[in-house]
Amino acid sequence: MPHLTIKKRLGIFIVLGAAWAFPQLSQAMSVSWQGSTAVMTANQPFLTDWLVAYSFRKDAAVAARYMRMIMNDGSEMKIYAPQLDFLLRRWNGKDYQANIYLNGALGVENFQGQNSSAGIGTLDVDVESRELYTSLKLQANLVGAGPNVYQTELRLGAAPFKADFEEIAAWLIVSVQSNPQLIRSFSVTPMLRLFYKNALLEVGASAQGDFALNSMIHF
Amino acid sequence: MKKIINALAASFILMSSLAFASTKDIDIAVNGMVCGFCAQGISKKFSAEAAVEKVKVSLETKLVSLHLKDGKDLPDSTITSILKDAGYNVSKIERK
Repeated sequence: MPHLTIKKRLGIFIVLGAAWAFPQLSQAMSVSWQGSTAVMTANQPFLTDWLVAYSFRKDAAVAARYMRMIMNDGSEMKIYAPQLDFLLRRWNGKDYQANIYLNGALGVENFQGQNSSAGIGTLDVDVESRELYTSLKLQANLVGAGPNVYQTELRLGAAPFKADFEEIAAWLIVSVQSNPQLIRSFSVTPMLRLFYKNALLEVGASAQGDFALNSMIHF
Repeated sequence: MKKIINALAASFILMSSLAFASTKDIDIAVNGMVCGFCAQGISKKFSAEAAVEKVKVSLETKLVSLHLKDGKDLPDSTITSILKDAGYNVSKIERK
């Protein structure tokens, strides 16, 4: 990691170390039943985040991740990284499920024509029932070139009706994002989520006119 | 009299065994099953079991219903283990 400061290297080490230290307790939405594969994409004009993950345990997955971010000054930052995802803790209630996920990635960053090392650490907490959903994601992207990027996303959702497994489920989701280092530092995006069996699609647009198109499939 | 009682007891045990062996449908109440991803994973796990002919998952009733193949059985311990490995908890297993 030739371009990272000692402080940044320590940050990456702590994130990856924590992810490795608690495999019994961890998971993310990319982590599913053992042997499953998840493909997840999140697309906005200022932020692209794609992930392919394979769950080698019920509480751990190995993934490949690609991120593209438009910074405050309009420049572009890209990160390519292998990632480890863990389910830290799950609570199964009669009518709800709650999860804590921790992900750590270490890869390559491209910023203003310069390649450098980069680390991503993500903590994701969600609680959901068949009618209500909420999640909070905290993410730090520590990079060798350019500014570190810190992201926060809060999501609240409600289903107008309870759909069963073999029916299409519809959700109304509001995503509140804080990305101080990106060109869109604050964004509120209402979205429609459609969910059928193992596939999920979210479509929305923010008040500033930014579209959002997200998808997830587990197989 | 003792012989009659023994014969009745033996018949009862035999009939009970036959009844258990002929159980083909199992309803499993599962905690934490709230979305399609949960149901998909559980359905795939049980479908991979040799004894299982058909799996039906209902988010509404929170039940996983199994229909077993003729002459096959799936012990409670296996059912519990499959669901635990998939990340869920069993609250009740009922054989029909």
